Amino acid sequence: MFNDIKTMFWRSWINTLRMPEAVAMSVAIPAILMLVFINVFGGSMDVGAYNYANFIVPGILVNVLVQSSSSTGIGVNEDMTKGIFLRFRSMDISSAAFLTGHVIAAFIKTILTTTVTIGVALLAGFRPTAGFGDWLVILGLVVLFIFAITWFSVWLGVVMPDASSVSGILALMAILVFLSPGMAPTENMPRFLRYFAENQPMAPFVNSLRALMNNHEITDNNLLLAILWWGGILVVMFVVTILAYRKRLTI
Amino acid sequence: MESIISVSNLKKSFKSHAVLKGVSFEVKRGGIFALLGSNGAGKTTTINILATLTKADGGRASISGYDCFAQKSSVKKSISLTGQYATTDGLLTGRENLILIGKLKNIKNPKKTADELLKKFNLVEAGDKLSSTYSGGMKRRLDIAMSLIGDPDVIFLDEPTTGLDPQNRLAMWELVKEMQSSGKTIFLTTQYLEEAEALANYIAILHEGKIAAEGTAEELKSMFPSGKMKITFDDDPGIIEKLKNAGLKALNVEQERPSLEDVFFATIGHEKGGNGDV
Ligand SMILES: Nc1ncnc2c1ncn2[C@@H]1O[C@H](COP(=O)(O)OP(=O)(O)O)[C@@H](O)[C@H]1O
Ligand SMILES: [Mg+2]
Repeated sequence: MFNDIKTMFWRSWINTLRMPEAVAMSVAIPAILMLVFINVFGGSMDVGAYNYANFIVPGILVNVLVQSSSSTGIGVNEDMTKGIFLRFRSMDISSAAFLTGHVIAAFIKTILTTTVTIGVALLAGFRPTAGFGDWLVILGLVVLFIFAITWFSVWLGVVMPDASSVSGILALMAILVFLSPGMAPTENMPRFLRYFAENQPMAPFVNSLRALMNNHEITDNNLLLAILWWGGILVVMFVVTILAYRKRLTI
Repeated sequence: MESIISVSNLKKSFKSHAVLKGVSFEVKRGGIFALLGSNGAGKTTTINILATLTKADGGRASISGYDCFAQKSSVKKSISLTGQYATTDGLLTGRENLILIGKLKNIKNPKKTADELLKKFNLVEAGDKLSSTYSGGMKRRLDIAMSLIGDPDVIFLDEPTTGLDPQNRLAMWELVKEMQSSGKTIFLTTQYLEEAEALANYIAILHEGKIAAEGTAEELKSMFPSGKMKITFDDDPGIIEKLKNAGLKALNVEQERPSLEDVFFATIGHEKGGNGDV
């Protein structure tokens, strides 16, 4: 099984590299997004004690991670309509290997995207004050989030009828970060939206990242909530996806 | 010779559409078996059931002694499947495709095997190009090369020559015969009578969900003995008598044997040449 996963990862990774436009876009879009937000909206928003770049980085990061997971679901969806998938189905391969190969390739690509995003943020005025230990926790949270959102994307790839439904749903998900504390303070939102924004799963995640990056205390169990939410989403999505996938193996 | 594939009373419906209504046949080890049928007859469905990819509604099927419904892993290990449409990865090169399958089949030296197969299938020059850029014939060759990896007992070829030009079709026929002579059992489907006749040791005609006729090409022909000729004269009775009285002698009486095409159309109850798309 480990060998199958390794081989499938090798295949997915080559496939990723064979679409350099896609990789370039997944790096360019977050960079542009970061620059636009910091330079265009930066002056006009009151974000309290933060320098604007320091405030916005966690929100943009979430947006970027959701967007960049989209290509994985699309890849899975397209693969499953192709001839090579018939061959995979006819071979004795462990059933998690094909999907896990995709997820690992996506993970490496996303780490690259994340690094570029943070790099551009630093150039644009992001001045984190996190210590080494904080950075480790940040890394752990980001890795957890990447795996969770990638398995969600893969699940969409398995159950959706076509690739554009996958990217459509993930584009909507990426917008959800605007209804969280990620892009703007929630105090000015109407009551119902504010309740949603402060309690949806992205909220404890951006709150934790923001506090860690700026060396503030993490309040209200945000760290625990972030881990529970995204750990839970990861486990559920993994199981649900494998089950849905197995169903697709025999018609 | 012993059977390597046994199928009995196989049934399959998609919703209310009954595709297989009790299909039975045996495939001998080491032979070329052709499942002959029109478009939509259920050839691919039959292959998919044997390859454990589709659930049958009823009946039994086994390959190399393994039950196709209960022992899927073992069945999958003893077969390979070349689908009706290219079962290759277009974003990988020919060589990478072969290495991919070699690794997934856990063979000893995937790279070396890939090199050997590229040579054998005349793909050395194209080996490092993306397989999506290959011509139809090259794709088919790569596909078959991938199917040979891991030394399967049974090779399924779903319409291996559909869409190929005559030259590539002949090359594919040679390839199929070569695979057989190297000891493989070949299970192929085709819509083409002359293909079944040219390649197969045994032919089964699938029509309206059942095996309408089966046997060697020769046996099938002899099942329908008459290439009949019917002559109607205005004063019908006694024509032979009259010929005899006129002093004509029959030198040779030969019963004309039907072509496989006649058999096929007799079986499915259509007039020959009715519609060109067999
Ligand atoms: N997954 C499916 N769902 C519904 N109908 C199907 C499915 N697969 C095949 N069929 C139908 O079953 C019949 C036989 O198909 P198939 O086995 O592909 O025929 P062949 O390979 O002989 O051309 C066709 O009428 C086809 O439309
Ligand atoms: Mg078919």
